[in-house]
Amino acid sequence: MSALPTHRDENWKYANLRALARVRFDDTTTPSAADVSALTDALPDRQHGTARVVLVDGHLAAGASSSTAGVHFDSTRGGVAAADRIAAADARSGAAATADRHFASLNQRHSPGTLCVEVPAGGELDLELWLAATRIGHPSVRIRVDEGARLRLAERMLGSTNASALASNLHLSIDCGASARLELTRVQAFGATHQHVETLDIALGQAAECHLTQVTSGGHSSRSSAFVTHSGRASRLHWNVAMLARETQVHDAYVRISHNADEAHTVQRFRGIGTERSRLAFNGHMYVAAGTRDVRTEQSLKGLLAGGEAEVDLRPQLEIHADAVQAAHGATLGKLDADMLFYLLSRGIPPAQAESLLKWAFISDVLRHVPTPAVRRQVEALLADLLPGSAAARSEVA
Amino acid sequence: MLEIKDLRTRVGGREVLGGLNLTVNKGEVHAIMGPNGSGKSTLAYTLAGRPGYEVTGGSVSYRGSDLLALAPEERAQEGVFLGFQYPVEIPGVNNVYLLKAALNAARKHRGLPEVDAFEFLTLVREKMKVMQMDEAFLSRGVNEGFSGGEKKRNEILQMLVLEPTLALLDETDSGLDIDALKVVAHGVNTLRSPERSIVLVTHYQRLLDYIKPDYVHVLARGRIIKSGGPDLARELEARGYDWVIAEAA
Repeated sequence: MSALPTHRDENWKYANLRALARVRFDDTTTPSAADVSALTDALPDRQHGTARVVLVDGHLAAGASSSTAGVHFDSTRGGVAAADRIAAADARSGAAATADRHFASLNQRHSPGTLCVEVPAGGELDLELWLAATRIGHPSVRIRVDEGARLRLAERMLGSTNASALASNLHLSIDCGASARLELTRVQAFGATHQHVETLDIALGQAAECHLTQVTSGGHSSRSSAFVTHSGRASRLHWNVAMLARETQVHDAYVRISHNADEAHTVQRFRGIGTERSRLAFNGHMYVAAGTRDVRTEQSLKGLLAGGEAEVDLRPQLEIHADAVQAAHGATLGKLDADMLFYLLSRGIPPAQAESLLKWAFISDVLRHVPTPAVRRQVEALLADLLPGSAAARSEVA
Repeated sequence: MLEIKDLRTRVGGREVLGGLNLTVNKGEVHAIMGPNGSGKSTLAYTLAGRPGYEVTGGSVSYRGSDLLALAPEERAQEGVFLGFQYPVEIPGVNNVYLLKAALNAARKHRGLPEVDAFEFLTLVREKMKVMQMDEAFLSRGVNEGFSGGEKKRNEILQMLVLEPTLALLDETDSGLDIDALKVVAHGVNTLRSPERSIVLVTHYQRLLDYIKPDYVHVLARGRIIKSGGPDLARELEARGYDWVIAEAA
């Protein structure tokens, strides 16, 4: 297994490695029934027509999960399947044997099992996945969306509020078959002391389509490493990320999107707001393989420094080895717009509410691309809680 | 209503208003005219409390209180409305929310409960009819993708919903075609009442064909150099500003 990354590893330059180094990731235990109940009892009602799975510290909370065809928990620790999965992802992403795979390997070693979700060819599934933490866990999730199938997955991460040392190391791998469609909404809202690290491996087959919307707001620090591969011709990816950091939070993401097939198309948007002494970093790496034709990539990274001593680092990267490519990218960093702020104040809106509204306006650029209105409203509701005073600025009329 | 005495304002280190005096009584409509760079917009921004417009001297009394001591949002809550010459676009915040938040802020300031959703929509729809605006504007981002004329209509719509005591309209007529000008003027006229005052900043007399002012003032080099009735505007249209400036020198 590779060693813990260091700041000399380019893709980990902005990660909160000191905090991660302090976590005893091998110190895993099965959560108590009382802890599981405390967390699962607090979950909101399941959406009508939606299946639910709850993992607590990586263990299946069977009592809180629904029984659904194609969804099962493989409690084989580590094992051949997991090893193959990681090796395949390494080969696709070109990241094998680097520090980027350290936490995926750690997950394989310590995960109590893997949640397997399989949507058969032509099938449809709406699934809520709750990843809850009571101590230190290694949730492992493998998803396969077969040819022409559709999966709408709402992933929510939350932690116990009555524990002080919480950490999670998630490995999520997804294979989308030809013409499969995946709509993935991820919300990370862990508690204030939580350390979260995750590795995502996503492969897109021919004409597959993936819409990912991620909101990161919780935890003391979080690190996301994502490796997406366009394996099939004419696959589509929309990667939308909103990050909000306050106090001393550190959120850091590295996303490598490999375009290994003709006519692959990626749109990536990042909007991050840092306040107080927080730090945010987003490193978007677009890779276009040699020999591919007509690949299109669009990358828009924007950061907002909203007061205090916050730091936002944006790194758009293009690595292009083909000739027939359209690649657009932009990264901007700024403060709240003084003209907009005065406009709102001149209408009698108090300063705190006006600032929240402008932050909302900044972030909403990501939300407006969530394809399903119901899902969009759920994410909006969560963000409205994080930006007091902006609640009704959502997509409904009044 | 409004009493401005010897007002001096600096913008970017340069004095733009250099001892301006103006009294506006309840129910009156005053038109401020003047050449480019004379300080017309600076006057409007200073009264609305825009940051960067540093008051270095003088006083402004609004309904008997010191207006300059209030923050911008407090001035608005007290009933001062600024209609912008160039309204900003705020994508992501829809019009209806802005209207509701602004109305509720004013109501809260007056000790009133928040407006009921049905009552609010009824009010807004009524005002939109006055401004001949489609309801689709409500769910769009504030001024997002609006034409120049639509932005100006939206400013007046906000004014009608908020029912200010003192409206400062900064070149509300700029960029409007003649039909849009009539609609905007009609909107402003519906707000006229014995309890309200309006200060119109404009370059052209044509707006004053539709909104009849009680007084017309010429602002030059940061001071009001001539005041008169509606006839003064017509004379300015015919002769320009040079003769007034020469007369005042």
